[in-house]
Amino acid sequence: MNVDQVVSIVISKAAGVVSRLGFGIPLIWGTNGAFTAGTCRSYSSIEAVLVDFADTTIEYKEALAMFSQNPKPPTIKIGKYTDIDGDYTALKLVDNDFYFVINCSRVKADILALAAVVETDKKLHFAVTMDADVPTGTAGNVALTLSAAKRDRTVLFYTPSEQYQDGAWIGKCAPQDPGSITWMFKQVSGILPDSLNDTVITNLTAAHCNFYSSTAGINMFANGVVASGEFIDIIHGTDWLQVNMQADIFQALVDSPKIPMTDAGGDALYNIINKRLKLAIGQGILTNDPAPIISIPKVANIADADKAVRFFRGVEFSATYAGAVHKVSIVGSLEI
Amino acid sequence: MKSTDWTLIENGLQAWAVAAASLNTNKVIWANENGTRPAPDYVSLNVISFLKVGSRDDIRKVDDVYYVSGIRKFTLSVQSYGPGSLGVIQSIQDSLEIPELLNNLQDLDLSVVNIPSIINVSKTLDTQIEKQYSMDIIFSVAQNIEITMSDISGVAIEGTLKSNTTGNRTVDIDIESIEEEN
Repeated sequence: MNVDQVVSIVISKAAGVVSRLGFGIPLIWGTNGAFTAGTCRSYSSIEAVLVDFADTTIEYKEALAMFSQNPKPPTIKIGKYTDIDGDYTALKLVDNDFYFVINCSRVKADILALAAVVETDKKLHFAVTMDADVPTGTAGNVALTLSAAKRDRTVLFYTPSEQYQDGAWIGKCAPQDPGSITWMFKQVSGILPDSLNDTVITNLTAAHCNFYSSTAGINMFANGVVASGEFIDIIHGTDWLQVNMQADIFQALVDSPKIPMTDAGGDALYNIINKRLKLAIGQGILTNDPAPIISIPKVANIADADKAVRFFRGVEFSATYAGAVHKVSIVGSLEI
Repeated sequence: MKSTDWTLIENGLQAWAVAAASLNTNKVIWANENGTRPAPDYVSLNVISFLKVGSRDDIRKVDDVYYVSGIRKFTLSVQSYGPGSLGVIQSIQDSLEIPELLNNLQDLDLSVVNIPSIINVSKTLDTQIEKQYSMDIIFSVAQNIEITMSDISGVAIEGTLKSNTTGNRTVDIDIESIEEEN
C-alpha cells in the first residue's frame, strides 16, 4: 500500500503548478515511440532511451545531447503526441511532473501552437527554428511572431545546422540551482558553434531569439532570453520560488498537527515564507538589498467568511531580483 | 473563549461567609473596593494569592473547541472586625466542617485545602483598640477554559518580485482547500 492509497490530498487551485519533485525535469515532446500518444516515459540513461527509440529519431538525439553534458539531468522524460497541443494537455492530466518542454517539431505552426498552450503553465518551452526568414528578420517569422505575442514561456533557438543545441543547453543548465546561473555564456560539449554574421546576430537579438556561436574564440549561448525578452533565469527563478514556497506551505499544512487560525498561526506562515525567501537570496535569485518584506494580516482583520472556511487570506511579500551581469562597460584613462 | 466565571465564585464565597457568620449581607464585604466600612461587627474577604498547580493543564479537542482544564489554588483572606469579631470568625472557621455549607462551595467546584488558624491582629484605631481577627483559607478550584479555534486549511499569498530592468513579476500562491479522504 502506498501513501496515495492511504491519504488522497487534493489542492484545488494549485493543481496547475508543477510539483517540487518534477521541477527541473525535461520532457522531450515528439511523435515517435512505441507507446500511447498523450503519455510519457522516464529515462535515466541514454542506453535506456535506446530501448524505446532508434538512434535516428529526434527524441534520441535530443536525449543524447542532454546526457552528454556535465552536469546532466539525472532523469528525463520523453512523451509522444499526434496532436501537439491537445495531447500535451492530456499528458498533464496523467503526468505533470516536468518543467522543461523540448519541442521536437521545427514547424512554425507547431511551435506557435505549443507556445500558446505552455504559456498558461509554470513551465518553459524550448523550440528550435531553422527557418531562413528568422536570421533575415523577415516580417511574420516565428521569432518575431512569438516576440510580438510576448511569450514568457517559450525559448526560441535559431540554428542553420541542426545539432540539438536546445537539448544540450537544457542538459547543462537544468541540473543547476535556479538563480545560481545565467543561461547566457553557457558552453556545452558536442556542439559546434554556428557562424553568424553581425546582421544575423542583430536580427536574432532584436527578435529575442537565442543562438550558439563563437565570441572572442569562446563558443557560447546567447542571449539567454525567452521570446518576450525576459531573461530565462528570471522566469526559471520565479517559478522555482513559487513551486517551492507553495510546497513549503502545503507541507506545513499536512505535516503539522495544526496551524491554528490565530496570530501565532500567521507567525508560522511568516517563518515558512521568510525561510524560502532567504534560500532564494542565498541561491542568487533575489537580493538582500533591499531585504524582502513580508506582510501577514492579523487574524482579527481576516474576513469572517474566510475564517469560516479556514482560509488565511492577505499574506503578501515583496522582494527584488538579484539579476546578473551580461554586459560590462569600462572607461579607462591612460596617462603618459 | 469561555473561562471560569469568577463573579459566580465570588458571589458564592460571599454567600457562604454570610451564612457561616450569621451576618447580614451588607456586613460581609470584599476588601479594597473603596466603599464605606460597615458598622461592626463585619467581615472582609480578599483573594490574596492565586497559584497554578502543575506545569501544564489538560487539553482536549472536540471539533474546533479546545477544552483546557487545570487546578488552581487561591488564598482567601478573611478578616473580622468589631467587639464580637472573634466569635464571627470562629463561626466561619467552624463552617468549614459543616457539610451543608461545604456542599454549596463544592457546587462552585471549590474545595477547602486547609483548616486555618485564627490570628489576633487587633490594632489601635485613633485612641481605641479595634478588635480584628484574621485567617487565610486555601481553596482549590477547577479552572476550565473553552477556546474555539479552527485550523488553517488554505492560504493565499501574493508576492511581488521587483526588477529595475525587466519590470515586476508576481508570485501568486493560492492553496484553497485540502481534502483528505481515507
